[in-house]
Amino acid sequence: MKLPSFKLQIIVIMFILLVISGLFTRYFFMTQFNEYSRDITSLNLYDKVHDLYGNHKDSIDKEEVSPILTDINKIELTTYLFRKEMTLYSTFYVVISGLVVLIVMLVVLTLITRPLSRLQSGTKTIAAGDLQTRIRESRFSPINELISSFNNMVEELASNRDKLLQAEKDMMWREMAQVMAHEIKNPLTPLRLSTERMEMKYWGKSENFDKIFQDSMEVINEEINNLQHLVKEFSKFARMPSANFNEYDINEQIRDIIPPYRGKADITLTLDPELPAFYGDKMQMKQVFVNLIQNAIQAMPARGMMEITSKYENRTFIFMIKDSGEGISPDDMDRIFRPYYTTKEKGTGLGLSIVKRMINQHQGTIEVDSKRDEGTIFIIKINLRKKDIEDYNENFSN
Amino acid sequence: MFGALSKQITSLVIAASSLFSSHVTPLFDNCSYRLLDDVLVFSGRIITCYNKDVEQIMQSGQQIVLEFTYRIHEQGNDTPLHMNSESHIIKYDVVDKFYTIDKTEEVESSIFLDFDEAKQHFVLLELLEIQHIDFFEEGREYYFVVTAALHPVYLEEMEKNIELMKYWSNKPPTYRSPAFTLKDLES
Repeated sequence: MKLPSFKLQIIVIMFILLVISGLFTRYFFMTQFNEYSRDITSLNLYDKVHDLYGNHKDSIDKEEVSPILTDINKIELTTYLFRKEMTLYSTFYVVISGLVVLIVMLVVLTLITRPLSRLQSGTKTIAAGDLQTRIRESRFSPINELISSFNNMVEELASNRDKLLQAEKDMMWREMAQVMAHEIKNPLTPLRLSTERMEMKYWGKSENFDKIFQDSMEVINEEINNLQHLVKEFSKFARMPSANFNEYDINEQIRDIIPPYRGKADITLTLDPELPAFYGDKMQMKQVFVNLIQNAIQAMPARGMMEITSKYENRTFIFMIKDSGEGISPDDMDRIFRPYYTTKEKGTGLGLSIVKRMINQHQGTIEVDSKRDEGTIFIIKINLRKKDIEDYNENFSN
Repeated sequence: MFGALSKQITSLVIAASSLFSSHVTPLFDNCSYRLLDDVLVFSGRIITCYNKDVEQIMQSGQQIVLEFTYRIHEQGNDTPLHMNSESHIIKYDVVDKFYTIDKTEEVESSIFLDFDEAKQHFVLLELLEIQHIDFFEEGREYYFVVTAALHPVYLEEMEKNIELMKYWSNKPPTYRSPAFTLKDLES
């Protein structure tokens, strides 16, 4: 059962309290006055005086008694009328004061709850990542200071986020520069050695110069190829195209990818035959599987076992790539998806970073679990549906 | 506590409803007019004009005045051609416990021991002389209006006024005769 709104709850509670307190106040005053009224009536002054006159008619003049009896009646009459007026006025008091307090409460609660609602929607917007949001202040609201503090906090957050982003960017550039320097430095040494060797043999008129020239040129060409590969990989990472979503049979895609790798590992496929059509970018997903399969093969130099699984649970596609390699050390686990981070001798450190970016584009997740000398398993979960993309395009295309 | 609370809620509801029910709506009833010895006379009485408060005041010994005002109009004209009033005065003798009713249109006072009879007589108009036949002209249409109003009761020494008309919602009962001509009266 859905509870009524905070505002309504407060109004109902306050109204009940108000009615009870009003009734008790009225009860107190009316009880006092009724007792006073009863006391006057119980005196029976009229009857007493009348009886006195009846018993002493001969000695008391009627004209003397009459005003006294009239006055006694006057007192009883005014008491009776006053009591009646009190009843009416106290009723008016309870009803009117109740209404006034209700109206005041309504205004005050509106002043409180409206900015609270704005605050609530503001926090949602901020949670969604929009740090430009500011809550409109209202100088009549009792929680204006809270709103002002909230706005200051968001401003601070935005400022800190910008600084953090800048710092991350700087760090990335530094890391990338380090990787680039390292990757370029590696081929430079054999290049320099080859050219120095050729120069030395050339000036020394060496007899086997032709052989040395040929060997050196091979080394130079190989290192130039390595450098070209490096540049290509970096370029690919920097210019990853946006995803092109289509429905297709992803099991079939996995089956098509596998054959070239059968010679390097014992691969088992456990693919769910009931898997519905997958909605995603076919090229990107191919790259994801190829990268993960290559990683797994590289982790099993002595031909290990690899298991690739696909299934569909809770409207989510789940893909698992498990190898029997040496596993990933706990220290490396947190960093394997970072760009330019690699534990391989000849790696750019971009493979898993690209995989993560592609999975992110499919609004999915990738997790890794690894045990030393037992192997590693990568688990991809994607619950992107065609409708989600259509809704997204509809809402954010402009 | 809950007993007191429920009692209070009940009394509040009664009090709130009494806001609307403590007033009465007095009306003229059994009204008639005719010529009697060349004089236009009116008879009638007021009904639904008493409530507990009014009765209480009547029985307290205070003098209560009920004033009947009558106006003669020519048909289609709101300005009265003739206006007069008569008063009924009731007073309770607190010593000998009887009611005396004086009517200005009558010569003698009436005395009642029974309160109900006194109440009936107090609001009764019998053959109230509106106007002599000579007042009315041939060929013209007339109507007359009779209204009744209670005077405030002033409590001497307490310097307090009790507005009796509030029990009638400040609306005096009114009788308006049908339009008539001299010929109608004579027939």
